[in-house]
Amino acid sequence: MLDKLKTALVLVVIGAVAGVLIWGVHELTWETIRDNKIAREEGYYKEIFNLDEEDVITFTKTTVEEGLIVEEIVIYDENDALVGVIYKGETKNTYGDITVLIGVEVEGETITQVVISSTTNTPTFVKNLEKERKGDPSYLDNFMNQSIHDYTIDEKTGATYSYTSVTDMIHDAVTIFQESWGE
Amino acid sequence: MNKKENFFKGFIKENPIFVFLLGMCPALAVTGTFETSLGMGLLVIFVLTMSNIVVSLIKGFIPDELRTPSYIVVIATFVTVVKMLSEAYAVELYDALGVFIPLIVVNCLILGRAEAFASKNNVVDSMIDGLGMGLGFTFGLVLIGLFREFFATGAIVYGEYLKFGVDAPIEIFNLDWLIPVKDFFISDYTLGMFSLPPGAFIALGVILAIMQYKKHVKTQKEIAEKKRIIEEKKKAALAKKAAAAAAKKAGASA
Repeated sequence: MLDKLKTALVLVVIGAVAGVLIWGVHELTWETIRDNKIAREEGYYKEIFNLDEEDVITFTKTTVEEGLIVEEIVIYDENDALVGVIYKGETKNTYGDITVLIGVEVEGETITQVVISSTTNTPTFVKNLEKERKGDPSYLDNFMNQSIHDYTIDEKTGATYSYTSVTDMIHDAVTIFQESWGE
Repeated sequence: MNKKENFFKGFIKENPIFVFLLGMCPALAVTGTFETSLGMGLLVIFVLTMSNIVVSLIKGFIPDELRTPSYIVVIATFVTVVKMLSEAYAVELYDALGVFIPLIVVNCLILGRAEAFASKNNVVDSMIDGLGMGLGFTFGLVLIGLFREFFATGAIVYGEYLKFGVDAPIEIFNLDWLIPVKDFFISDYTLGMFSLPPGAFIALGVILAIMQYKKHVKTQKEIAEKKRIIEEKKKAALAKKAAAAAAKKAGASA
């Protein structure tokens, strides 16, 4: 009986010490983790519409389940004027996960910018989409200011799973925008 | 075994990956790039060292039947700690390693060292063992990561996931630097398969084969050296015997 009590006591003590340690680290980090998530996402919203860091924006989010697009984010400026719409696409390809934000200007119906907000795909393949190709704009920059009705895709970039995922998400975002906001 | 030997044994002689084939899950899953390999290695060093220290400290209080569950709780605690710290201070690495951070709990290297070493040795030796084995494990991961990233992309990138010391990602090496031809990109001609799971097995197989070959060559050299010494000793003994026989013959004829 005493042995069983000792065994239980040892487990309780180990569990309690482990719990206290985890609680302490959680207290130390939870605000930073929350701030990281918010800052990263909001930073991309401003970057997509070429806003300064000091600019104040508000946004509303709607869950979308069409193709690879999971969320529609409508951005407003500090005067509640519509800035644009961002489509958040998520998918898992053979290299890993990839999340892409596609910004669309409502009035001109143009793609403002395409950003890979987070990914576990092989960095060099992702970099191939983001970097200039000896003078030519990058694959992602190629979409800037293109009309959603008539956009061209840079086909010189190597065919990788990252390339296919981003291309599919852009097609899906354009389709959803035309259905919800198109005239 | 002195402290120096205890520390260095994990690098080559008892390397967890290349000799004991321990921790194969992260060795195959997160070594797509040099940087993720290094990141996983650093996390394992922390968890392994801390769990070895704690297991060594509490070994006297743990009943035998509770050893494994207690060690698992200790390891899981440190894994949860590194998970939260990496999510707060190394977000990109946290995103890149994903589910493989919680899976450090079931890395057999860590439980193996707790059971085989820390539960039988003092705190200082256990800490040195954890640090040495962790560094050896990191060395193994980084070697596989470098191999795979180089063959998959023709380049080695740093700063994408680990931001320590750099503001933006930098290319440590790129084969394009050696081929300055317009519209030629080495990444269009590399073996992308190496960034995929089959590439991990092939890379590990090739590295293991090279290490085994080197080990075989070393063993053969040692055997040849032993044979040479035995031959020399035989020759010396025969010469001595012949000299003794000659001396005896000369003595008899005189």
